[in-house]
Amino acid sequence: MFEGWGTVGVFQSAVFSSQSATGNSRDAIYRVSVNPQRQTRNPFTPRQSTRNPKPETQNPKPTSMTDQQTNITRKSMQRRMYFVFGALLILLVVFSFLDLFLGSVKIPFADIFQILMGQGSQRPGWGNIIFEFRIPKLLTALLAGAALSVSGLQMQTIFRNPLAGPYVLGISAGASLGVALLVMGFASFFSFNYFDIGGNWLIAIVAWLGAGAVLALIFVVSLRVSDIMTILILGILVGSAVTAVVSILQYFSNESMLKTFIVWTMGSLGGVTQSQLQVLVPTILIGLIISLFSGKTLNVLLLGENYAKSLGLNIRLARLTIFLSTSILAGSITAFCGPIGFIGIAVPHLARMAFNTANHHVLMPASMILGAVVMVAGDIISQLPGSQSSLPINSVTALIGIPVVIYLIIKNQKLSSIL
Amino acid sequence: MQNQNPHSIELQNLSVGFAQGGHSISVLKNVNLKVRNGETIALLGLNGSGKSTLLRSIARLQPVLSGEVRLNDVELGKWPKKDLARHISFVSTEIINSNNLQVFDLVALGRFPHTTWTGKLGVDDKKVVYNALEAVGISSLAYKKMNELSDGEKQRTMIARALAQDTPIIILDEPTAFLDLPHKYEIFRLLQEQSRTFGKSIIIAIHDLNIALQEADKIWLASAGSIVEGAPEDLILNQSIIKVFGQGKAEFDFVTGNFKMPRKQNLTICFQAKGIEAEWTKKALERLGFQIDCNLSADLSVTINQIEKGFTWVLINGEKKTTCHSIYELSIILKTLNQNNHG
Repeated sequence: MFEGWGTVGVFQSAVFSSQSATGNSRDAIYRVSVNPQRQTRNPFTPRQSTRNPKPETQNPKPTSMTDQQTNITRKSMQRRMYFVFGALLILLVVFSFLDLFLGSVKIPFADIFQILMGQGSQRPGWGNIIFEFRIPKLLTALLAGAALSVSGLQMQTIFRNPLAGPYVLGISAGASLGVALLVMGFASFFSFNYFDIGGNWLIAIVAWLGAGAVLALIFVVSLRVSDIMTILILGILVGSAVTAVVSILQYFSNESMLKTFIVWTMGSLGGVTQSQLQVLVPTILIGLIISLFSGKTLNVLLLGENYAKSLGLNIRLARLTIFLSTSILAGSITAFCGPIGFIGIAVPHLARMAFNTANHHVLMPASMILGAVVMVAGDIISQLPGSQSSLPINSVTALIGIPVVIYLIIKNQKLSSIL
Repeated sequence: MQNQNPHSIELQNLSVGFAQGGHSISVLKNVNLKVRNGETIALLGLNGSGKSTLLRSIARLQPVLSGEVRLNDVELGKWPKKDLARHISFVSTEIINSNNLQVFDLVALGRFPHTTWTGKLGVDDKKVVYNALEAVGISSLAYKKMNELSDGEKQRTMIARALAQDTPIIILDEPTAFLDLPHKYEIFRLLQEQSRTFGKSIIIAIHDLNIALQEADKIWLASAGSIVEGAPEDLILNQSIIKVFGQGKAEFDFVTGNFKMPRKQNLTICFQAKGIEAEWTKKALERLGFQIDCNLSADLSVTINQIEKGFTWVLINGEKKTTCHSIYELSIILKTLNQNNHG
């Protein structure tokens, strides 16, 4: 996944190969005006490859930072980035295997490998356990971690609020409301089988709509109030109001509807069925792909609306795209796994700390991988108490994420500068 | 050195303002102005006179109420967003605080309208970014995070970002608001250099009247709901400046172009000396409320003597002679004299 990554480290590599760029500009040290088109059309201008990572030994640039220092800075930055990405990927693979290994039935590692290689195992039932239960659960955990983290990252940047996330701002609650309205409200008029493919798509779509509606509401308010804490409190209020509406719906719905809804609310990573995965996998992939294309937009949004506009960003289109992918990502996960809190808010900060950057071309894949790692780790922890039962995943992620958020609040007097 | 292509901005019957509860309230009306190549224009006006609104309207950050802003003879609204961003850049007082954003990366965001969707910087892009850092004198800070910089450095970073955008027109809304005086001058000079060297047009709203009057090629003065334009000297001579800024108690000194608070001068003092020490002594005497006059009725007199290590000030009060080693020492004695006189 990481190999073919064209845009990772664009900023960094941009910095790193900049030395060669100054090679033929000895006479133009103070020349800020360069017309790139005219330059490239000029046949006498030597074409230099952007991809040339080799530092040139001769650098006429009279910067106060020496060439050597610059080289060291850029090299160490690059090395650090690749090291952290590598470490995370190794961690992801190790945790994934561990996750496949743990469960109510003990299957030896060797057999798991054999099963994965398609060679069968000592007992035929083990293959079923791996393929029918553990791999779907692992896949769900990977997708959920990546999706929630990316939606959190996008929300933090677009609201310029380091404490934003799908759970704390009530986006997950909005998705729940969508499903509740479908299952307990509209079910009086139509009858659906909520557990086949069509029903799953329907659930996903109403979850997106619910998530999108809350997102739009928070956004409209954030145009008038920009205070980080105010928005946060508003999110909590919206979340509570939505939960209250869901309770009222439960009160008025009949037994069979209620049962359907309760079954839905008990969703967990392990509860995602094969037919639900058929909806979850493509929607999350679409959401993640959209968000990968938003890197440049998100970078410029770090400067705020005015600067973004003055740089030529179509701000409406940008917001629409980012809200769309956020709603799809957070909505789909909530629709099939239930609300999972504090991954979306904490993981982007962990990614910023690990990579020491604000560049979304790095933060986006970093949040995906880190989110997947944290989620799989959470799933492993939830299975630790014993082989027969597991902890609710929402509690585990809360206990992982909340300390990170508390640390951030205590460490940074000025919250606005965390991003 | 490569000059920018010829460009022009024309404001025609422009009326700018904001909408409030369905009504549009205009702050500036009938604005008819033109910006030429390579001009540094200082936009002056009292607080709330609509300077920011005008600048934001020219940069298309907010809609105009009526009239037109024409860039190269094409109405602003007809420009594609990306093309417009290659012609006009904008700097405001807003400073970006971030623990993680690097100076280089922030300045590189100025290349936004020039790069593809990946934001990948080409050779020329990087050259422009480096030159922009160099031009504002922060290339040694390229790898620092924004939060490690002082306010002045942050503001310079924001200006470097605008330079990296490489536009023929730069609009700045009070970019020097947080800076101390030497830095204000420095930023103004830097922009002027950009305009003189590359033919860039710069429109800058600035609070500091002295800098504007001394440095700008042209002044746009927000006055009585519209804009008056002219060279700084024109606006001083035709009293426009004083009409706008002379409403308070401060008096305008037509010779120096400074505003001064009028002082009660109730004692006369004789003081005759030349040189820089004399100038500053004179200022101190004026500040203390003394009128400098050497006719016979002068009660007091001061002379400056050069000694081995600096200067002494000798105050003669009738028969009494006092030697002071600093202007401060002198001012304390004069103050008590002044108070006794009142008492």
